[in-house]
Amino acid sequence: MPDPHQPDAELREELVAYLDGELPPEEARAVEARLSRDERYRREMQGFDRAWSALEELPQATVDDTFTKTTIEMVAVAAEKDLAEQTQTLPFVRRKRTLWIAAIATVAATLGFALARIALDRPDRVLLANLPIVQQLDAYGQNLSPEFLTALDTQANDILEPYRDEELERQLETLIAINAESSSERRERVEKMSDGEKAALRANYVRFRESAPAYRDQLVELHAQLRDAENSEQLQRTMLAYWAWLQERRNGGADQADLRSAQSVDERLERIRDIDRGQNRRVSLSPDEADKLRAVVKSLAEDREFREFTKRALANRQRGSKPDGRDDRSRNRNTAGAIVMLHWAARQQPDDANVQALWSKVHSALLNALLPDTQASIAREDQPGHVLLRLTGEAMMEGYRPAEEELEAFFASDEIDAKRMQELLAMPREEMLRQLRWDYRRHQFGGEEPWPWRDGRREDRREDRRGPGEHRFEDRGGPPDGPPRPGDRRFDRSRDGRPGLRDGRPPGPPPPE
Amino acid sequence: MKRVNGVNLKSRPHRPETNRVAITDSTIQHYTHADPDVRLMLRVRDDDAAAFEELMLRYQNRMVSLLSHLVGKRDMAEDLTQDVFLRVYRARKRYVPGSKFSTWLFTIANNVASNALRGLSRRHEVDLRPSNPNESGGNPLEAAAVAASGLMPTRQLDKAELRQVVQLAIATLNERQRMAVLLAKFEHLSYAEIAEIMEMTPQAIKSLLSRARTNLREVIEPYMEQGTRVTSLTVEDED
Repeated sequence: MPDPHQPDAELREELVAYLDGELPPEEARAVEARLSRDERYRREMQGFDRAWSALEELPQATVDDTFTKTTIEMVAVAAEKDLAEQTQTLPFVRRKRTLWIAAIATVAATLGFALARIALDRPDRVLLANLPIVQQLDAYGQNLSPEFLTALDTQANDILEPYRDEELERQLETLIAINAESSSERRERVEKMSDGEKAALRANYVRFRESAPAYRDQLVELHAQLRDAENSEQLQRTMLAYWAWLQERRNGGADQADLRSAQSVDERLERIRDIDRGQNRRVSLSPDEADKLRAVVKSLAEDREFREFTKRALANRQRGSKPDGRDDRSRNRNTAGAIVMLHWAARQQPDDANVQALWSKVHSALLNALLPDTQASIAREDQPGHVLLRLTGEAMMEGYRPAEEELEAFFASDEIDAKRMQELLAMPREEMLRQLRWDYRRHQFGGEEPWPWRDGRREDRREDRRGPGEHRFEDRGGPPDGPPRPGDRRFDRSRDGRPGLRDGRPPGPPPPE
Repeated sequence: MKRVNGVNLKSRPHRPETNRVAITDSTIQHYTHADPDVRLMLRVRDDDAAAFEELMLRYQNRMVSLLSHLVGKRDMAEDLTQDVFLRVYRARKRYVPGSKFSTWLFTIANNVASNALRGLSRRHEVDLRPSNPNESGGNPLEAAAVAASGLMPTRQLDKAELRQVVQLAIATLNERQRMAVLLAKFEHLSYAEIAEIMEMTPQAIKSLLSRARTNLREVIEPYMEQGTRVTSLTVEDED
């Protein structure tokens, strides 16, 4: 019996490697030469070869379809559990490691991917019965009625007209087709969907299924009304156009909630017109203009006259707050704040020739950074000075758009408390990133708002603590930029004073039971 | 240190990862071009569910077979196979094609199986005698021993008996020998690929396989030549 401990162990290694085709050509030729002349060596090789061939008798396993499905289900469940665990432990583990936003997105994507695969491979009866609603859940969920849609179509056609495009017609065609389909045809439609479409559909289905029965009934009834109306196609087209318009509103969910809460058709139409006018009127900057504005602010930081003013103004304003920064960010923050203060001083002290001259110089510098069209738009505003400051503020904010890595590190840092982190995680990714950027900028400005007017929004700021320039800008219809924050007056109440947005969230459908 | 594509798996058993270190663009291009399973895995990385299912269909039978022979229990092999695919899925976003897909996959499988066997060993539940991969319960080894007993006259073994003998031979190998044999025999992997999977050198794999095949031959050859049972199942175990 061969023994690897014996001197010929190497020879066996050589034989096995030869049989496995692992010997270099020269060594293989040497083995073959020996095989031709050494009977014992040849028998040795044949023994190895026979034993190796006998392994083919080992039974090979086959698994059935159930195994595949079970595995995918298991992947989905595990992914869901991962997400839950990550969310729950996030505030506690983030001190120890960097939590990547991308990782969260990955887990979320995993869920969408795997669950869609499972749930929609076997679409259930409820999904198929309500497929039109589930597919257009957001559009149906705007507290609509045939009366409102008819009025919208006739009285606000000019607003919706730009949204009645090819994409909308395609959606409408699909919606109408689904309405006419049998359950088996709907099943076939769902099964043919891409994974992305299935994931989106499933997300809507989960929302639909988890909403209160009364709310679901309301949607089903609306669907029946629209489907059976004489002008069914036009009503559905208007519904889709209205939703398309809503999606482009700057305040997003807040505007939607505001409109859903309107007490009458007329009131809602009026608010729609208000929102549309407000957005159209807003002056905005091109990236190039924003760059130039930032350059102006930066140059002002080096301007001797302006620095003197800044020094005096900040001495009044700080009153025990953090010392001024030593880096560019702090200097720019001070410069930005000083511009606002200068504007305030120029309005309050019309007889101070120095202040007036300085403001005139700063105002001209800022205005000259803008294109003639933008300058003309500002001139048409009720308060052109404020608009110019708002635009400068926006340019400064945009200038601090952090790299994703920087944002990720900030997210994982201790600067965000547990409550805020939970809020962020509950948001859709884009919204979460937007708000996170906002938090980041606040942090980069030393915990203060980069523009003093924002201080006025804080609940804990008393009037007598405000320094010059700390205007309640929003009280005068100032810039509504920045995301809603708890305590923001404009987000705590809808415009007619009714509660409804108190927690910073729109009054959506009734909560799950 | 056990590393799978750059990440220590033994110390982080639930985190099969991919290697972003020392994998050049040309390597990535090579494997992406040469290996269709790599291309499927790249689609999985991009959340293509159909590609994941396709990979499962391609490998699930092979994986269950390999793990059945490795751990000796069909039901456990199925559980481990699911674990392997779960790890593949979780690692997908970090996947970088630094080798053939099968090499990457079996690296994960090796780690999963090793962990499982260690767990069994700690609980004294280890049963190295493999059962029929298509049977979820029972162990035919006793029957094999009886059927192929030395009491029987010299004769030609039939297929069923030979299968039982081979199973017996596989059962005599230690875990590392068994893994190397299964990868070489059924996955047709080279020494270099097996070495990568098992974190050994190709030379060590060469020695390992030589000893394993010697052990297999010790058990199988007497049956094939004489239809008699070997008197002892003691085999070399240096690995």
